[in-house]
Amino acid sequence: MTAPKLELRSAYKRFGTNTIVHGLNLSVAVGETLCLIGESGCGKSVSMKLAAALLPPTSGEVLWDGERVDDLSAAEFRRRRMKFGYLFQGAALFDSMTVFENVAFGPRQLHAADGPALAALVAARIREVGLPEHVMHRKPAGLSGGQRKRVGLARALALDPDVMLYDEPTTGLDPVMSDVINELILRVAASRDDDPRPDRPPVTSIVVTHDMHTVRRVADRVVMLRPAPNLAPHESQVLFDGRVEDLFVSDDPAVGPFVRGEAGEKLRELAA
Amino acid sequence: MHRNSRSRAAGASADSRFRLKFRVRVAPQFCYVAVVSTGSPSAVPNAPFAGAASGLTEPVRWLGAALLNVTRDVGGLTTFAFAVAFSLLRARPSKRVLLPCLYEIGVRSIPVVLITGGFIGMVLAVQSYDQLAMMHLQNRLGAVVNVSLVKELGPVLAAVMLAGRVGSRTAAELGTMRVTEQIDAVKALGADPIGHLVVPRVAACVLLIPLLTVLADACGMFGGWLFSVKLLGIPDFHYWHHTLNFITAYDFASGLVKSLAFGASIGVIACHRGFHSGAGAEGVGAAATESFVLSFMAILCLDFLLGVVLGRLYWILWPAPMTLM
Repeated sequence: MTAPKLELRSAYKRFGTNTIVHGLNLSVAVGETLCLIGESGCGKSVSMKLAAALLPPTSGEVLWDGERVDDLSAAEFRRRRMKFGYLFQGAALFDSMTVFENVAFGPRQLHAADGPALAALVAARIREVGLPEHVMHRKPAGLSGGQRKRVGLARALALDPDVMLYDEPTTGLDPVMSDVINELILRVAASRDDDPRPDRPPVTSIVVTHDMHTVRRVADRVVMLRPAPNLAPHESQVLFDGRVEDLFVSDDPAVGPFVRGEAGEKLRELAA
Repeated sequence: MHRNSRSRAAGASADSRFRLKFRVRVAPQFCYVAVVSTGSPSAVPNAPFAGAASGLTEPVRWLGAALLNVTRDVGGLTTFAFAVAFSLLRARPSKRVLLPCLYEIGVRSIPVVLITGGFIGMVLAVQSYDQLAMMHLQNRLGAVVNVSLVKELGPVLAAVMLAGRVGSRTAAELGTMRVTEQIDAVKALGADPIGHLVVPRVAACVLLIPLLTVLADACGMFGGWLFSVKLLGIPDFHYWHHTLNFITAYDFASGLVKSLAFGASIGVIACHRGFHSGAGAEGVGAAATESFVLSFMAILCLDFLLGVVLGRLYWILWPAPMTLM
């Protein structure tokens, strides 16, 4: 049996006295697209950063391809570093650099390409996300929200990643642009499906989102989290873990209203 | 809480006052343990004078918390400085990242350093002239102005300008990068944030502050000469003759050594504050302010320590005394 691409085992993350991730067990299979949903502040983005080893867990284990990575030395970690693509919520483009330099950043760091090869790679990625090539010489401040997200995606794809992580990819975008991003997520996920080379496994994706349309379109599996602060020590933070079809017919009183966007119980809590 | 417990104690009966005195004088450690170990005075059932004890322990608790914070900050800054040093040893920053930092930190600081340097030279001449004239030593004005500039004011002035102009900007820039997840993005793209963002900035500060110091010294000397010779009428020959008699290569070198230490501290403090900035505009603003305040304090502390050490070293190497006469 193939080991999960990414795995969290009994992971906890605390910031000061505030627990954000509470004993979370989460695994993502190779080639799977997992959507992480849940109310704001429930620890979705932090869980994804833990899985990508961008944050160290307070306790618990982080595994990549079945091997523990949270206890590695910095040098060993750099050597083992998996190729990640990360699309941040606000795109997190480097303001002081042009679009070209943003997209070229990853390949330059890993010495993956240089000179004309790098220019060709960047141009290909820019075209792939549907942007005109002339935006390459502009600074991020001169781009619209949708363009920034697409540049962020081009930058994440520039390293030809095995794992793609999307943090609220459609937040703040109009419905048409949201659909464009959803389509790009699907394309990236399917980009290696017919590639027989063993060093190019199918792309594994985690999508943190509040957008149920995105969940319907891109998810193979959905995990819903609940906020950690109110949980008893033995309680699981995972409210739902299953297929998309099951999510939308769930009769769990915490899952159904969230998925349908019904505020009933919350409004009663606010009134009280 | 302190004030409340005081007023409560003032209103207590004589008997209570006696008991309070006994409690505080005879067994203060008991009160402290009871209050601190339970977290709050109200948590001690029927604990007599718990409020008064809390009032007495509050300053200790405050002092302890302040000391812990300072220790944590100094420890964090030291660890950060070591991480920067190790990163610098592991890999030199690439030209692509270093050159913009050199331009921003060095080239764009030149005008402000030149202007302030020129004025401080003139101010020194204004302030020193009357004192020296009272002793009929005004011809030695060049020595006073220029020794002060080369040993103290040039390096300190250049460092303060750098802390204000570059340190605050760096802290705000890195703070904004942290808030907008750009530092996480650097990490996600396979780069070391310390090596990519901090090392070039610290290196640029260390490399360029000696040059800024030389410019500040030169402009200050020019300003001092202009005011002393052209306006106060001190003979040109005496001005430069005494200057050359009193300024040694050691003075100049000690100024540059100081400036290197100032540059490193400004770079590390600014980057540390930016890297650990709080959330939002308030956090970034606070990081910029803290960067300047801490850098300024570090400059003055280092100036004092290096002044003592380098001064002592001078007397060991060249024991002959010097006088203005």
